[in-house]
Amino acid sequence: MSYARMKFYCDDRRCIDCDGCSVACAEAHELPVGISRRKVVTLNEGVEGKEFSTSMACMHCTDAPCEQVCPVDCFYIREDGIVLHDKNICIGCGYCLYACPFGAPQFPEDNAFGTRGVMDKCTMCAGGPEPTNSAAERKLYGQNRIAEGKVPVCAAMCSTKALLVGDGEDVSNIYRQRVASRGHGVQSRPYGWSTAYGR
Amino acid sequence: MVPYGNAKARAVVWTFPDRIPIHREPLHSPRQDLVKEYPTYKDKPNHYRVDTRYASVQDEKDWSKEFPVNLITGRLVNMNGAGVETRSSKYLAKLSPEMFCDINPGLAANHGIRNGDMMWIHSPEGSKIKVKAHFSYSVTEDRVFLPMHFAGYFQGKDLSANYPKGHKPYAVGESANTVTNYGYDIVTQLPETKGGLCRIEKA
Amino acid sequence: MKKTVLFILMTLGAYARVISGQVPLVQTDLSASKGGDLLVSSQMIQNILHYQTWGELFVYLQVHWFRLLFAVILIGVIVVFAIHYLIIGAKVFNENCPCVLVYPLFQRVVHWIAALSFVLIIPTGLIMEFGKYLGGGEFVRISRHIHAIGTVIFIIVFIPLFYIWVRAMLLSFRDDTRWIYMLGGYLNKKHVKVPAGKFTFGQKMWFWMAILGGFVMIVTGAAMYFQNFDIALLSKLHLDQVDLLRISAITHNFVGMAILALFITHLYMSLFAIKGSLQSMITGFKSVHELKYLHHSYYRKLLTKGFISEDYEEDK
Repeated sequence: MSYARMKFYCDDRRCIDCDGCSVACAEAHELPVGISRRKVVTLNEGVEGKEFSTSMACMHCTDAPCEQVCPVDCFYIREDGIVLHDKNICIGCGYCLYACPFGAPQFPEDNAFGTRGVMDKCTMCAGGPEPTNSAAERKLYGQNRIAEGKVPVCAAMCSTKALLVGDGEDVSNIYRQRVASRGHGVQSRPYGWSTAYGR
Repeated sequence: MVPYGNAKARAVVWTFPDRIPIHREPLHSPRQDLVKEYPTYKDKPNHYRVDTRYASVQDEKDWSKEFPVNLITGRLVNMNGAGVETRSSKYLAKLSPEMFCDINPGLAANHGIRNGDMMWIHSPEGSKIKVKAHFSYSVTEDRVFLPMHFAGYFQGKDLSANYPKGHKPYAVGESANTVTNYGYDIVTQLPETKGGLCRIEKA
Repeated sequence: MKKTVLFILMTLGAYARVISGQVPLVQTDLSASKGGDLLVSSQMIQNILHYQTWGELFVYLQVHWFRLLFAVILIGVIVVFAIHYLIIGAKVFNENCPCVLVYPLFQRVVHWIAALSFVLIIPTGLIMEFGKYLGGGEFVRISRHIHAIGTVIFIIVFIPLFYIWVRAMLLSFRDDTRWIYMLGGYLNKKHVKVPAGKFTFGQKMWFWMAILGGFVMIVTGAAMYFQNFDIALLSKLHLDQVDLLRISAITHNFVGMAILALFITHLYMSLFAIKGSLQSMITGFKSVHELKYLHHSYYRKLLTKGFISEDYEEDK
């Protein structure tokens, strides 16, 4: 029997750099401003044919390097592949950031000393080790939408459906369908364009 | 405006000075040859009780000699209007925490401006703003782009302390409209915010 | 006065919130003066392509080697010295005067401040390295902050420490090569005359490790501590910020191992192997008897200058 493995995928052909996902994420989990669990980055800004935007957060790796390097073993990987960590064990050393290829781990900074607090990262809206939907979980990790049967807020909010989330197989099926149907039955130009320009 | 483009006339508005849209060079034009070909309107005294100048400004001199760079202002995706609401939302303000100026690296190199440097933008009106340069290839080498949502600074001076207590937005910066050029719509009196000239220098 | 107390209480409160792991709703400074955060930029995306350079190396070392090597060094060095203590035993010198003032007061003060910083830094560093077995959380988190406080103390004494001993610690080819050949005479139960100036080659190794290694530790540690910084140096080195952090972590661990090994050696020598050595760093005096054997070149120099006399009788 195979379990579902939850994955994110951002279709950079659809992402329009609106930052809706990152703002929705921050708003839903009431994050401090210094923390960007999800961020949209644009590469090659303004270079024709090369510019693209993509939305980045924790990719919930199967062999998560953060989980391997953590000196206090505060990470755990759920059966459905979501990588979570325990903020009561985390010491904020930053090793997970060095191990992460995607820059997902975030560290809040404190006003008084400018020291790093404990790590914070995308939970795929699945909370943490505290009792599900408890006040403690909400305070430390934000909403637990997965437990409520909801889609993570970033993907739910994505206006172009560039950001996909779900079982890895389903996500890749959707993407495969998109690639296959490119240019077929999909309106690629505004209506009346060909009339206006005669081509 | 491109007369054969999407804005192709599909109707005749007989109450407008141009019954169908035709191209007219902005008052501060970078191209004198186009000014001769597509001149603007004659001055319009008592335009909604305001004496509004058109041709007299355009013909005053070749503005592009002194102010060679095109100045465009526009919106950002995370901001709204003058940004009073959106700049007061911390998550939205975080996406563009300060006023900037999109500038092509080629143009910036001519003025010795590096990415993230502060730069002055002077307008033909005699006003100037101090903004941070942000390298971008989305603008060509003959123009700069300014977002229109910021306020709180004026000509390099921080006036954000004048906000009522507790009302200072998270993001403050120079207002782009400090340097937009003179010019108003012949029908609606809307200000000209997209077709101006400026001179840039390293701060 | 009232304000000062209040300020201290408030900062302590803020500090307590950080170490207790709560994430307060911090209002970061969004003003124009603040540099961009490179860790939330396109640089991070471009760095994915270079992940195998430093990222994979860091993961490999941290998963397989760092903890193991620290354990080997910690246990290995202690076991080696325990065996040495059992077989060869401590060196005992006649501590009675005539004595020579080797460490003036200022040097002793600097030494003990540096010692304090090492005592704070090294155990807390080990606690972090082996935090997994201590359950993480509060205790290890506090250790991380003590690690930083110890570093501040070390930075304060760093320049005085370098200044007071740098001349005496310069390597001398004749003495030091012979010292290495006879391993400082530590494998000999009898007293042998060891060629060494005011400091033996062993002490010199420890000094230069503390100074050069300490400098590297400060720099790499600061890079990891501050994490977000925006410097032109990075672009000159063609290095992404996160790669700099990875290199810092790797360097910090390896230099840390070397310092740990020499620190244990220093502790063993001063506390166990040479009786009275601890006393000499407290009072500042070393007996002529000890100087004659462990610092023979220095002893000869003092003789020729006439500070001490030859007809010194050893009492066995």
